[in-house]
Amino acid sequence: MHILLQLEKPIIQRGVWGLLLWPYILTVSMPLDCKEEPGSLTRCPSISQEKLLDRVIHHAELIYRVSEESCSLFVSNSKINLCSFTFLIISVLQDKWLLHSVLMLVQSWIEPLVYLQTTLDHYDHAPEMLVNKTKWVSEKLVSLEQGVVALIKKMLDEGTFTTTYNEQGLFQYDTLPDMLESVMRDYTLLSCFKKDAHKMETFLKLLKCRQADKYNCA
Amino acid sequence: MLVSFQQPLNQSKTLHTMAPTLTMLLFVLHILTASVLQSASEPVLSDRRPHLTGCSSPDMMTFHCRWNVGPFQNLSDPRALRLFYFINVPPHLSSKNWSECPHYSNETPNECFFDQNHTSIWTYYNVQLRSRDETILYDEKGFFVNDIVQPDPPVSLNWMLLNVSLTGIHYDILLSWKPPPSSGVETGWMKLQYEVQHRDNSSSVWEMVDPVLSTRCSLYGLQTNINHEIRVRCKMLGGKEFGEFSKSVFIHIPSKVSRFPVVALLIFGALCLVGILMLVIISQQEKWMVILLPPVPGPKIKGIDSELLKSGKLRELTSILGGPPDLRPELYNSDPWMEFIDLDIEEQSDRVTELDTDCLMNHHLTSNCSPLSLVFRDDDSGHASCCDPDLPCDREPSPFLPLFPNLALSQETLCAATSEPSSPIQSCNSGELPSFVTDRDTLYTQVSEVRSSGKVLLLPEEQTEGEKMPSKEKEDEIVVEKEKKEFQLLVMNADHRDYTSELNAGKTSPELSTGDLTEPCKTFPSPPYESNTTSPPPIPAPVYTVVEGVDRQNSLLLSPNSAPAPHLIIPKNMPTPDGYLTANLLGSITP
Repeated sequence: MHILLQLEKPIIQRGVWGLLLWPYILTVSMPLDCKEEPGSLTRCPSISQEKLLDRVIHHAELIYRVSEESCSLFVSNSKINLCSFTFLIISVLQDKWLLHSVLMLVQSWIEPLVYLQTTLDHYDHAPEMLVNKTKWVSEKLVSLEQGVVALIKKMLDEGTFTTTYNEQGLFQYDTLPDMLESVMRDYTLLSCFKKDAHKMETFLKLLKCRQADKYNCA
Repeated sequence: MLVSFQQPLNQSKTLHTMAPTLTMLLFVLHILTASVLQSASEPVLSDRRPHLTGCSSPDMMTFHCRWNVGPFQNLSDPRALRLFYFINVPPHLSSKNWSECPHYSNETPNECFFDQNHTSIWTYYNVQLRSRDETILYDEKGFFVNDIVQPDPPVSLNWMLLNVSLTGIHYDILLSWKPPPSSGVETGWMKLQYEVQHRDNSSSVWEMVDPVLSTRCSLYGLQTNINHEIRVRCKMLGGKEFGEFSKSVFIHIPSKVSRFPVVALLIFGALCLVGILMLVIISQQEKWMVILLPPVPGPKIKGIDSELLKSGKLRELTSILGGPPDLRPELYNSDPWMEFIDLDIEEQSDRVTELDTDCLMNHHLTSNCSPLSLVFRDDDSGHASCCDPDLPCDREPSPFLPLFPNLALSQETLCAATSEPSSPIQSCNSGELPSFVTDRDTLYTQVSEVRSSGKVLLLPEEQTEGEKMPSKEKEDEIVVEKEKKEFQLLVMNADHRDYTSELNAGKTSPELSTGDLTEPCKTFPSPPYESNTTSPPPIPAPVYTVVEGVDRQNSLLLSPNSAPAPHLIIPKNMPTPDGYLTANLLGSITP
């Protein structure tokens, strides 16, 4: 199997990407009215729960789209699953569990994306679009974390929340000794991230459609 | 594994980096071509060999994998091929715990169905197609479950007619459907995107509508009388591939036959309207002509209306011609200081009484007399002209005044005897008595006798009246005249040197012993009341003649033709107007 980084879609794709993300950028770029206090979780009393949830969902949707486009830059026939694995039974889907899962996912991906950024900078001929997108995703992921935390506070009335993270770390880079190609690594990382982004988005939508007793998400 | 970058030449980079990129590129291309060739051969082999056709998940909770047996007939045994899968766990990459297909589906051959318990959604699955003895690996695939989602087709496809164009050629419909029940859209599990396709029966090319997120779609501009086929399919938002198409819906709307009558009705209505308009215009042609082509007004004097002339309103007409119509000429006078002077009768009589008899008698002898013209004054002073019909014109004796001076003149001539102004009687010693009639009203008298000497004798009014006694028609008039008229006859009494009235004329007359001259004086009848006592002497009928001229002595020259008849018998039967003989009656009078 081989992975080819496909960079055949130059300007048109950038324009399309801009057009697609334009409505999302508007909503996402607006910061939440949450004052970030270092060392403690934030409170967002000025925003309503529904609005907060909608914003969080928008964030997740946008992140997933960007990651999908990032993955489309690669052309790969790789058949190896290098992502972390969480076997979940869908029947057990409670609000609490959903929120915690989302938070866990978000928090688990902040660091790998930062790592990806550094590795891309090391490339001499790294595609610019990829670099920009990765940068953007990592930024939005941080704000998404903030929103999820605020949401947990509003919905579950939980106080401080300690992250249980990294038991199922994304993948241990040192456990992949035969991965000589960093590109492979990048692609795997991005594809795994895309999968988890989709997971987050789905969880949040489930959460939203649960809030109203009538399922009006059709 | 081969990983390579395909990147365009970056001009910003320096030249020394371009060389290794070029070599890398070439290397990549070489590898690519090799892989392409290799992959190209694979489909050929896969056509013959059993291969996995695809794995898909309709609801993101279960999925299935299908494979194709291939042309080999010896693999007809359903268990000849086996599917194995395993889920990659990173720490244990090397160990491969392959599990066999949990359920080989019974309905569909060559299909492996993974139920919910065996499906981990955000998990990477590796699937392999092996022979029965697991010696031959025919095919393998790896995927994430969320990436192979292909929703079921939408259900309950329905359409509603929105409107039809006026021409009836095109129509619009509203298409609606329901999401597949397995998708779990209402729970928010999946968000779907729909795509509508339609085509005419005649064409084989499907027309696509942009994907919509709602379960409705409007189609515009479909043609009538043509069969249309419509179908819908959906895809998960962010997914890779669409699901299957729904069952097609066929629409056929026939064009309305009534459109022809509509057009005909419109044309007919328009024609009727035009016809009605024409009728109206023709019937009211005159009015229309007046409105459209007003008559040119003819020349006209400003201010003068021909209607005025026709109606005979001369007053207005003259006022218009005379000046501004708003100013009345009688008011607008050039002599504002002139005032309307009322006619005064006393004044009139005064004027006459001022007559100096001496002057009258001795006009040519005395030069002290003011000219008689004094008597004759311009009575028009202060009066409006009698030409104005508005103003009443009082009957003035002024026109008749000239008679009296003439009469006086005649009397004077008759009384040729000169006398002093103080004693004008002397002039009348001839016996002639001038008669002065001073009266407000007109007084008519007759010439009673014309002497051969040329003297004219006048009859007093009573006499004339007395002759008219027999005419009954004049009785009233006489009475009226008597009542109306007062006159004084100033009789000159030579003896008494005094003015005597007529009343005494009869008495004094005998005292006059003059000759012929006195005779005429004698002919003066006695006063009316005296006439009652004495019978009036036979009076000769008056003789009318024509005065031809005035001689040097200011005596009237009468035409000799008229013989001074002693009397004229006036036929009594004939009515005489006021005692005068008209020309008609003259012929009937026999002397």
